[in-house]
Amino acid sequence: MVTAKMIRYNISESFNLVRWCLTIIAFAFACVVSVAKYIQISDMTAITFSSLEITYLILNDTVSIIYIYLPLYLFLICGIMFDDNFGSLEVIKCQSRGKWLVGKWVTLLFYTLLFFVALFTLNFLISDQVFPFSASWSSDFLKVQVTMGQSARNFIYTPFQTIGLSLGSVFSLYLAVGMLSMVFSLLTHKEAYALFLSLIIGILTSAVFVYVLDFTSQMSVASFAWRNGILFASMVLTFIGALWITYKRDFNIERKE
Amino acid sequence: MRWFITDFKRGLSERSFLGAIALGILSLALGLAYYVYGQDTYTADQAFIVSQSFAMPFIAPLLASMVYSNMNMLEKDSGYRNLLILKHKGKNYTLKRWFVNNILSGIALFIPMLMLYGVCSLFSPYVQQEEIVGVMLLGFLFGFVYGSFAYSLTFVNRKRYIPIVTPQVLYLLFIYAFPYLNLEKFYPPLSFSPWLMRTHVDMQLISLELFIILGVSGVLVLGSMLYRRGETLWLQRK
Repeated sequence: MVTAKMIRYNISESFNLVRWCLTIIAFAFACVVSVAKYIQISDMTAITFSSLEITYLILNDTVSIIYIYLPLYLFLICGIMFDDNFGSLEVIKCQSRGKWLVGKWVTLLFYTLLFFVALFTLNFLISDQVFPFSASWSSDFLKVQVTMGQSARNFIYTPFQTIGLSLGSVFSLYLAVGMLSMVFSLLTHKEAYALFLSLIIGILTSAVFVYVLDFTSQMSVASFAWRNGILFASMVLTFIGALWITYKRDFNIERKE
Repeated sequence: MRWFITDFKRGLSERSFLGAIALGILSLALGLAYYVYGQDTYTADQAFIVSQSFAMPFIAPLLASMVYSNMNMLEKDSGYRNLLILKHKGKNYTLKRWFVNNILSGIALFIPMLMLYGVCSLFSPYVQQEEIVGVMLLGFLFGFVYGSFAYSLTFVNRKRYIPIVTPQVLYLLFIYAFPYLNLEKFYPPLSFSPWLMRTHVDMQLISLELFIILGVSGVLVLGSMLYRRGETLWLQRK
């Protein structure tokens, strides 16, 4: 079994304060810009959105999700696979290559959870400074969304539930791309290659879900299940591939790249 | 002086320099193709303006950063840096490398535009020649400044890809953000191609923007030089 000590060691080794600080600053900046955008829209349409509605709009903005948050996420996690001088010693300490890989995967899961908690919290806090709080959808907001082509069925759940479903889908996508980044790290042993290759695949995957498999973008339990099912299957295959590479890999005591 | 010339020649022969020029030419060629297929009659001025403001303003920082900015990191990793320091009789070559890097970054953006200028002159004689030459020189200055910024980042991190990617990432982030923050006059691509938003062009603000970036990078470079000198003196005393 992978022990809590192994996980704690992995987290302490891979935690980079500078990267996390830059990420939080980037979140805050992107959120302030998004809120400014919706203030302009609010002024033009004479509609007052609630803070949860603004948070929903920000977290469903495809441009932000794909071109701002995804690169930030990959930048945060791409250092997980690179150890500081231990390499093969860590594998020996873990007693098996499989346990070593599972330890890395659990670390990735932890960072991804932390990333999304920070993402939602910061966006909601900043939106709440400007817009009033309401736990239900306003009729004006629903009219605007339907006018823009959204189905009214997307809003049968409460804002918290809808945001939760939406974030859950994005979480699965990011986790799948993070696992790919781990595989590329194992193959190339270069952080830059792992980051850029997984970023390109992440962008292409998002495009496929939005334009080709658009039935998975609806806010329904069925669409949620489809999308996450596909991503879960890809994660399992990625993990099997990573395990195979780990067992074939020749571990050396080498410097962090 | 000889070191400048040697380092300059070395930079000119780097693959990254040639790659930056190739990408610059490709982006301008795309713009020119867009212009040619969209028009029935062609003029040199319009051809140059449309081609230069099509794609290159949005990748210019990457082209400027990739030329020679992280060479000192490669030299440090390979151990070549020690030989260079010996060659300089123990003195730091940081400032000299800064100037060479900035000039090469400027040239990497200038050469594709010069080639475009030559190609567009085949359509018709130039009417706005002064304006166009001014924008080409602005492009050189843009490369000079962003190359400097990329070089300064090599002193505050250990990953070789960060100095190349960071200027471009920040540039794109500000391109996304500034219109929503009513900062159109500071729209970053205007400092490379003022034709993008003629109504918002203010040369004083563009100069200020470039000056701030150069100033920040200069402070980082000088600060790291002083820090290393202080560190060396402290180690020697110890």
